[in-house]
Amino acid sequence: MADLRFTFDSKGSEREQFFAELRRFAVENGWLPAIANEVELIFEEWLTNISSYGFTAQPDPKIHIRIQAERDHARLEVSDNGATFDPTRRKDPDLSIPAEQRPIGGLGIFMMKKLSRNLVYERVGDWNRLVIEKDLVTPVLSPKT
Amino acid sequence: MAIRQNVSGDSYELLVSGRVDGAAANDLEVQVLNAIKSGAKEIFINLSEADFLCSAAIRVIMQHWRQLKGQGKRLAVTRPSKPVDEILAMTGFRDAVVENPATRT
Repeated sequence: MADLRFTFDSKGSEREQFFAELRRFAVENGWLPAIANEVELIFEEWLTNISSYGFTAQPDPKIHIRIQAERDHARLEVSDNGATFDPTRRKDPDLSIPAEQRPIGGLGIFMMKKLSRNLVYERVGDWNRLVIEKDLVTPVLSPKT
Repeated sequence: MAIRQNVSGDSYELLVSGRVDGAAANDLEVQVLNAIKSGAKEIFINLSEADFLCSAAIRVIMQHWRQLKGQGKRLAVTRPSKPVDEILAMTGFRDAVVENPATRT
């Protein structure tokens, strides 16, 4: 099993470093570029959510990431010491409302759900822990041609 | 991510390439606002070279799509790459914002 761990304070300085590490990890483990992009998009959405909403009252923000990859699937674990927030309880946007009138918020978590096999959330002490299961064989989105 | 701009009269094309993440969404919004400030009546966001589109970028596109439509102007996504097209479809905005090539004047 391949294993990648990363810790940062969400202020932004380590974010690019994390994504560079993630891309290197994806190449080393032979992930399809389309799969690597989907994993990156999942992290992009969740890290943005944490830093935008979770840390407003947290003077010492921390995020721990662990990626455990098998041949055909990966376990993406993100723990943060921000405000309690369970994305699995977030209602999906109502796509039947015309685009002109539909609220645009909430798309990021909806996209995370669509791009993942499963999301499991738990609050552990002062920490949110989200575990995302990701299929590494078949991309959800078609590859760029 | 990179944005190239082509201007023809009051028609602006923004060619966005690479990963359109949160930082890129901010850059895209700056470019759209600059085009509006310069008097653009049509803004085409060409996403043929984009690898993916995050939700912040979708927000930028849809907010300005609504705003310009309300002013009798136009913003559209053109030639989205397959993954970008599918993200727009997944979030229910493709039919509204992606321009059918046949409608391009």
